[in-house]
Amino acid sequence: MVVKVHGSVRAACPQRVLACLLEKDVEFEIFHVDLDAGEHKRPEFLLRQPFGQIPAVEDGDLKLFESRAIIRYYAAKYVDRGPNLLGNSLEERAVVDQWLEVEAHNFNDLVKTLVFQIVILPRMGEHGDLALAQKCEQQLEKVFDIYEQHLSKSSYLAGDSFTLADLSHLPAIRYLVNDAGMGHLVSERKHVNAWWEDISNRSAWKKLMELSKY
Amino acid sequence: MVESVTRRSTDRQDQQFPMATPVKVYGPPMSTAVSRVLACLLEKDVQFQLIPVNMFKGEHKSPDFLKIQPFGQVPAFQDESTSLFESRSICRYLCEKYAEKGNTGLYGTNPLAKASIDQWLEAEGQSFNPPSSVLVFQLAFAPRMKIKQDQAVINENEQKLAKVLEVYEKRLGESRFLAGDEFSLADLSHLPNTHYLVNASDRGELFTFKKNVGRWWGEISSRDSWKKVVEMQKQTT
Repeated sequence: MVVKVHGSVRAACPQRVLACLLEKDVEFEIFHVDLDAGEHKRPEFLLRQPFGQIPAVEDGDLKLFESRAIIRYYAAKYVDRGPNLLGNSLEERAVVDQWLEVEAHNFNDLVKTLVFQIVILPRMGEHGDLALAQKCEQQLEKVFDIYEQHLSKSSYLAGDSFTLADLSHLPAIRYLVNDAGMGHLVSERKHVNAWWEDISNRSAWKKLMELSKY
Repeated sequence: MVESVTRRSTDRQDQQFPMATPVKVYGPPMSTAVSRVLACLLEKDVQFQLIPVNMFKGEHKSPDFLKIQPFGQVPAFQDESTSLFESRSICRYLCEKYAEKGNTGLYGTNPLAKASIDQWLEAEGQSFNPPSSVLVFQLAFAPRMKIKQDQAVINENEQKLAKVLEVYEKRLGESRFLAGDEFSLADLSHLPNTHYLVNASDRGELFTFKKNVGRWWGEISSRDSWKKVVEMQKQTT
């Protein structure tokens, strides 16, 4: 069964799902949602995702939204295929989940706000709030300091293997490094830099970058 | 293990939750994230010790506390096999570890049920929590802490929350609870913030004036587990 992914291949949240499906070698088909045309706010789309956000996934009878819920589902469904993105024991799985929650609550909003102010708004021909962007940058410096300390003790966020916790960071960090001119946040930190080099060179992520045709 | 975090607990806590249990939650019960974990422990019928963390004195930023929660936030959690933070992942861990205890359907009993619960748990975390957290701080905590309220921030977040609750109103007209017919972690996760907004602010109508959301709130907030958490919050203020 081919998993239908509704969303834009260049948007962060669909990328989180696509990266996971590629890691697990799960066949998918992308149904592009035209955000500029407001397709995600139209009644037909709201039936798929009532908050009017991407991605939404359809897999036979299963309909699911929220990228981090989707990746948890597929990482568990295909736990025996490809790399184990979840951890082996109950405790390991909990630590993977913990860092996935860190990404969701301590990392993502800062990047989203920063990117919106200095990349998205200018693209739309509007002025971003530079003071707000700077505040986000300063807070991100503190978050990355914590990551630096943590990654000095283990190769990946949840231990010695690449997991959903690391995968979940890929789209946002790509935005920071490639679009927002914030690469210094990564490159100035030895262990964060090594980690980013490693995870962004995984073949699944590189395949997604090709699909995105940046 | 953090040995030097000062443990101060009331006699009643010692009676309810004997020292013998290795399950420890660090943080004040009035914290929304801490109370999320407490509600889950009570639903699962798991005994625990609640270790106070005095946030007014900055204990959550002390070097000892940062060892167990590097972001300096509450809660932190420990048991005999692990040390964890982030309330929603602590809840998921408890549900997996104690699958056969207490409310056995809290995190679903099959992958599809679990996926639906995770979906609505994420909706809570991504769409409900940001505006409701801001409102809880502005309306319930800022006055107590003698911090000036920001009316623009209140208005902005009230509008955002109202939009989210419109989605919930529709959903809860189709389904008894958010993820399906049974109470789950997804509903539980909403208890802390909603409790403050309904009981400690003048914006409770955002919830109670909506037919389905009001019905849902009435059901989930009258669960024994949540009543016990509210009692714990009252004991320590």
